[in-house]
Amino acid sequence: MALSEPAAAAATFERRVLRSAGEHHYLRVWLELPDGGARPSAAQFKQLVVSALRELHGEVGAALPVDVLTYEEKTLSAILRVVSSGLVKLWSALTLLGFYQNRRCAFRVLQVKPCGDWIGQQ
Amino acid sequence: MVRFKNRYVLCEVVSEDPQCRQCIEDRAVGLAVRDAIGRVHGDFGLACCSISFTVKYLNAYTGTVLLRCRKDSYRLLCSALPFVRQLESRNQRYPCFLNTLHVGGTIRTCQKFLIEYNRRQLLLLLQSCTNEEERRCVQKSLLRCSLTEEQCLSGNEDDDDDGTETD
Amino acid sequence: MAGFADLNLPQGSDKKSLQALLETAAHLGYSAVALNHVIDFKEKKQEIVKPVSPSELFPSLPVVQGTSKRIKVLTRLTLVISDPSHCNLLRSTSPNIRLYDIIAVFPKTEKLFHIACTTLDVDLVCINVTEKLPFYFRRPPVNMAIDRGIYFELLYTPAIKDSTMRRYTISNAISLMQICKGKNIVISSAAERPLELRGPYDVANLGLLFGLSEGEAKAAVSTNCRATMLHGETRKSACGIVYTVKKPRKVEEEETLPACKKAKTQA
Repeated sequence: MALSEPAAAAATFERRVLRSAGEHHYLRVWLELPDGGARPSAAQFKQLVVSALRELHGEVGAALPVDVLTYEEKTLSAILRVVSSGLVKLWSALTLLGFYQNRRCAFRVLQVKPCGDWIGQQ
Repeated sequence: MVRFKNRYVLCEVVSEDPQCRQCIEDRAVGLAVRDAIGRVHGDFGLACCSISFTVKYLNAYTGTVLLRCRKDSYRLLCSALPFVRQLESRNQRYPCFLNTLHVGGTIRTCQKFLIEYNRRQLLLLLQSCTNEEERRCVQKSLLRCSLTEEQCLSGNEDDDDDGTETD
Repeated sequence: MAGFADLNLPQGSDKKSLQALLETAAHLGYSAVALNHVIDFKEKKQEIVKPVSPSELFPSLPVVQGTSKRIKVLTRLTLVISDPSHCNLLRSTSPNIRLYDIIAVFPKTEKLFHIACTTLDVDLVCINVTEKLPFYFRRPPVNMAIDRGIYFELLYTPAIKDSTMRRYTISNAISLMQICKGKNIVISSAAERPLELRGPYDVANLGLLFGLSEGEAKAAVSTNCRATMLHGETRKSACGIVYTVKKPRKVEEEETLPACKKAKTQA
């Protein structure tokens, strides 16, 4: 949606208001898993995120619409998308996660953005 | 005056099994509610709600329970109450559910509501009476049903009357 | 803008693991850390030893990510007190205590909490997060501590390890917030391994979970930590006299005081 407001001078200004940009937040995360064991697959990664939410925020947290948009098994980095109202829940659940299959791990949240136009850039 | 604001949630235990009534005690109900909050809202919900959580009043005959929690977290508590599935005590499990009747800021408002509610229940009971004896008992209870001065001051104990003879 | 700081890294005996911790902290963006030496009086009598100088322990300090400065390492002493007689150590002018940058106290009973907030000369009061609070917080000592410039410390690493600890941490933190209204809070780890450390923005988000506002949560990791460090510095500059200073400007005035006093005594 664009609203144009021509100024008094020769230049015209255009103000763009993006209505739908506030719905989701995007997180770039990295799972630090230093021991040399098996790396989680994409499905296991999503399950890990959901189980972290379930532990900290219960069934309500586990039902949050979280999507794993990209996931690289080699580097264990991923981009998650969550509804903006659930950002604090997801972020805190990832922060307080300490174990994956009884192996010590840590989630490092590298970037949080309200719009997703940077996905695909490394 | 700065003080902690609480919310009092009045609910009744509804069960098909009449033996469930003997299971209604504050420890069993408290555990069942906390378990439900833990399931629905996780560690965070349990931590928030348990700051000032107690079972303030319990009536096993009518199945009325009064719970207290902080004002900031009463929504977590109320949203978790429908998920209570059973009461467990002394290794006996009885399926039941909690029906929320009233949420108030003080015990007095809940007490007033409970008296009105019990009066309505007694009226319903009156209509379903089968013989004269029962009718007289229920009518006697109905007439006793009001908030007297002593009851106001004492607070929250034994202010509701039920159909059965307890004295 | 004040840099991020983590004021509680337990000082284990292993130098290599400490080095790994420091490197992780620098990588995550912390500009300053404090190595914590805990003294628990319940165990057999312990002497307060001189703090190990960081330059001896670590020949080269890692560079903080995002800046070109090296990470700053401070020394901190935590006294776990469960008896009023333990406070005498703080009151006496023991030479070794003065050498630490930050002094913290961990009160175990309500009376000791009151004493710590109102009279003791400390920078931090630790709040128990690993068990149910044995006492309720009261407004008068907490308000007095806020006026004196003492900060309350919450740890987050126990919440990562165990589900029950998580509940106690959140519960105790929310109880504290309801009394102090989010002022004078410092959130720090007590990480023994690099994997137990979390980035500063993650920790600030945890503050949101405890009920802080966004500004207060960020301050809990940055501005309040810097104020605590400055509070500890005033103890060093004013020999034996206690001032509670919150604004950094006053530190310069503070340091000229001893010189004036010296002039007066000489005159």
